[in-house]
Amino acid sequence: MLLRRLWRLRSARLALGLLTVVAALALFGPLLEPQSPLAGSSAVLAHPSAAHLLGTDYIGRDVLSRLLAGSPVSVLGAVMVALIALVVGTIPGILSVYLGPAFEWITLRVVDTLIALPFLLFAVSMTALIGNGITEALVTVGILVAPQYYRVARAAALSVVRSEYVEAATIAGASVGWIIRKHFSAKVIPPVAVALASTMGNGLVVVASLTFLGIGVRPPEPTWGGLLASDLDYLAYQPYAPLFPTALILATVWAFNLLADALRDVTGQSGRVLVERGAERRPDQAAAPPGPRTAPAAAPGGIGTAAPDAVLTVDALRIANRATGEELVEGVTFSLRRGQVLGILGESGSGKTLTCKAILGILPPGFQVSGGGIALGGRDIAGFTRADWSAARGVRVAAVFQDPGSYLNPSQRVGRQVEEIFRLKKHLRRREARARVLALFEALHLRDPERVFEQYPHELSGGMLQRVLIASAIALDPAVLIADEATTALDVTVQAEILDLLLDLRDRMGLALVLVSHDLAVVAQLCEEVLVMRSGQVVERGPVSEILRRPRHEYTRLLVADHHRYGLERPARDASAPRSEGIEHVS
Amino acid sequence: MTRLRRSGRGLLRSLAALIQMLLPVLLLGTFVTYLLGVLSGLSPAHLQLGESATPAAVARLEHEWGLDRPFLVQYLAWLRGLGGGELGLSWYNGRRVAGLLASRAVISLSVAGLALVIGVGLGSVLGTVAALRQTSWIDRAITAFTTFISVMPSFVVGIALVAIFAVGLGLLPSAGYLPLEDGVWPWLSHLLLPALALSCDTVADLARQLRVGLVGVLGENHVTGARLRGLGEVRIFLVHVLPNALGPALTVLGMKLPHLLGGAVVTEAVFGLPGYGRFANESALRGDVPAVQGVLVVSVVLVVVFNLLVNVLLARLVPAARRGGSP
Repeated sequence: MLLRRLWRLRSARLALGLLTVVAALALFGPLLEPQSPLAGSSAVLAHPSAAHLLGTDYIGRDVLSRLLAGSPVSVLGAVMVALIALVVGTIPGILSVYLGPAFEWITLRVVDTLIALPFLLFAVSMTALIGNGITEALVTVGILVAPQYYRVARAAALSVVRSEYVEAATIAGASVGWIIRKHFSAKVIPPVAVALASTMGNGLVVVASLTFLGIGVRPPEPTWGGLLASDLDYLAYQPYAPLFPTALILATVWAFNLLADALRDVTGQSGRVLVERGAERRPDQAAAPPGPRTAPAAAPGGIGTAAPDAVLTVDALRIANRATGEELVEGVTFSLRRGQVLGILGESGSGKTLTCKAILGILPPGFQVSGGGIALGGRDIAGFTRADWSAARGVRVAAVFQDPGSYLNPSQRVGRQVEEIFRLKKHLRRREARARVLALFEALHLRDPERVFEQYPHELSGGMLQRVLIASAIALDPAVLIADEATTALDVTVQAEILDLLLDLRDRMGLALVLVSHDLAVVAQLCEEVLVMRSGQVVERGPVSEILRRPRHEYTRLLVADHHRYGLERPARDASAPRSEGIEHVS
Repeated sequence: MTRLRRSGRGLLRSLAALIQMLLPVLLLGTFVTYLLGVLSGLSPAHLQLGESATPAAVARLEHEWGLDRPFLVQYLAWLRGLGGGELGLSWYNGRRVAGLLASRAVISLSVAGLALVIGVGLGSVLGTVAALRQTSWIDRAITAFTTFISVMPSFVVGIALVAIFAVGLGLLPSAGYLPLEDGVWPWLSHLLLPALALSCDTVADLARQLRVGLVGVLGENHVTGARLRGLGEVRIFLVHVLPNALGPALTVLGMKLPHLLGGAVVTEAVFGLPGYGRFANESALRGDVPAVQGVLVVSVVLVVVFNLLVNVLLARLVPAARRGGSP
């Protein structure tokens, strides 16, 4: 089964083919020797010729014969190392899961120690001290390599124990033997097979290293590593000589590694996942029946007509996937004056977030503005350089998002991150910058600003994080603040507080707000004007009260109807608030 | 104040966990090292009296060396010696192993240190460039290069370097060592090729891990957040990306030291350096047990110390590691 799947991979066929040749060399190589590998001749250090295809060494021995004679030890040695390590490592690895904490603790410590030891130094010293024979060498290296198998087998055994189906099978009274045959082999064999292939490659290098040093096999006896050692001494006479043993070693190691990679792919352990880009639009939406798309009429109230004092103008903006050419935003137009609050309403995949990202110059890779334009404070962003963006962000436009914690550096105190803005952009000293941050935190109703300043993002609640993020966004007194689903994941009371805070900022600082949400209640409560987006298009626009009372587009009608049926996500808190007239109407 | 106390306690706790991990390595490492001497069945009699020694002479010599005591007594006495920086006497010439080792360790540590510098320097550059030019041809070329050098055995790389730079171009010496007193360049020129050969594995692994770390962090929201706060790209990379991306690379670096110290055996043979790897090799072939044990125990201590340093660095850079990974 495994072999058949393996055979379908070209790299696996190549690896198996190469390994067959190597195995043949290891088994039958000595039979093919043209001359005796140990008999010297008068032709010392001869270059390759018909008599000696690969030349002769420093006492006139035939290099080809020595290479062939050295194959069994070099290759079978590697195989033996892997098999010894397999037995020594796998068995305690599996048992460590079953034999209780004492055995587990001891074996884990031993494995940690073996891994921390300088491998080659120990392999050489141990082999030489114990007896310096090939058996001693292989056993020593096998034991030193065993921890790899221990870890692999232990991880697989743990996953078997923890998986529910084995529990279920045990409860159902299945025999231990059945469980081992059925589930254990499926989970343990694949990773062990990968380890086997890769340790054979490593084992070959280690055996070659040892024999290169004269450890395990003593000099007159030929090995691939030993040949290299004598080649090194006569490099000036035969600079090409090391190439022959090196080529054999590298080809074999490469084949083992190729096989290990192929095994990893076939058994699904490589973690190779094809990353699909541009999946912004979900398939269920693409398949949805197209509703009647009314052309966005220029509604009363200023949206769509570029006012001369506009802080943000979006003009027939189109955004496309670079690879497929598919347009995900198709002609969005609006503009925003100081102090104005605009709501953009739409479900996920409607293109509202892409529009915001285009305004901020942070379109994900693979997307591009394919038509129309955006102007920030009267300047077209199309010609913005990196320096322009750096100067514009935080001043002309700023933004806060859903999941505010993820937008802060997890390993820095939050105060430092807001302070950084003042220090870098306003060139304030640390003390002044800190005072500004604390004042800002205070103004945003963060309790105990001094304490919050010193905390890491993971130590703060969602509501506090959003306040910190808002603080970082408004630190430089921006003209436009985009709040993209900024209150979506927060609980209801916190959501209300944050929304109030945003309106308060608008009133005090003359901030223009773009409020993006899928939640009609949020948009209705805060905004004067609203755009409704669907599938990359603006399907409806106008004053909030108008849209709630007389939705024209089918989708908006559906939204409003849903709203009536399931009730508001949050009741109007203050019926006398001037901007909550829409809420009053629907409740 | 509370914060200080809290982070102080966290540091203590992570230090305790680290010691719990490294102490067994130290104890087991020394134990295995000492046990090796017993398992070898060798005795100073083999070296000093030859094959024809009478049993009585052998017994007398072993008594002189204290080898007729119970194993655990010998082990504890040896450990006590280690505590005082004593590694015993060589069976070969009766001299202090600590003294024999010191001058050779300087050479090996110079090579390992230089290899570490090359590994960190070249690995960081390759990893960073690959991450910043993700999925481009540069990225693919770097990945191919690091894969290639990571599977090359260090003695093959060593021989290739000798063939190219020493025999072919004649730029650098092919073997030997000169002390620093003879001048910086003569000293460095003898270390450069061995260090380069030894560093391949570290360069490859560091580049790969750094690339993985950087690619992961570059895709995180907080980098977008920093960009939206109007920070420059260089500042974002150095302050907000790099420290958060170093975790896997530093962890790998901690695991590379055993390789850098152990690889000395091979590189010192290729380049004819009289370091402790050669010393271990020769002493082991000679059957000089205390000398081999001395090298091994020094290497174990170095590994433990280096791991301690890397882990402290890791904890300082990544608060998550300091808190044991819990959010």
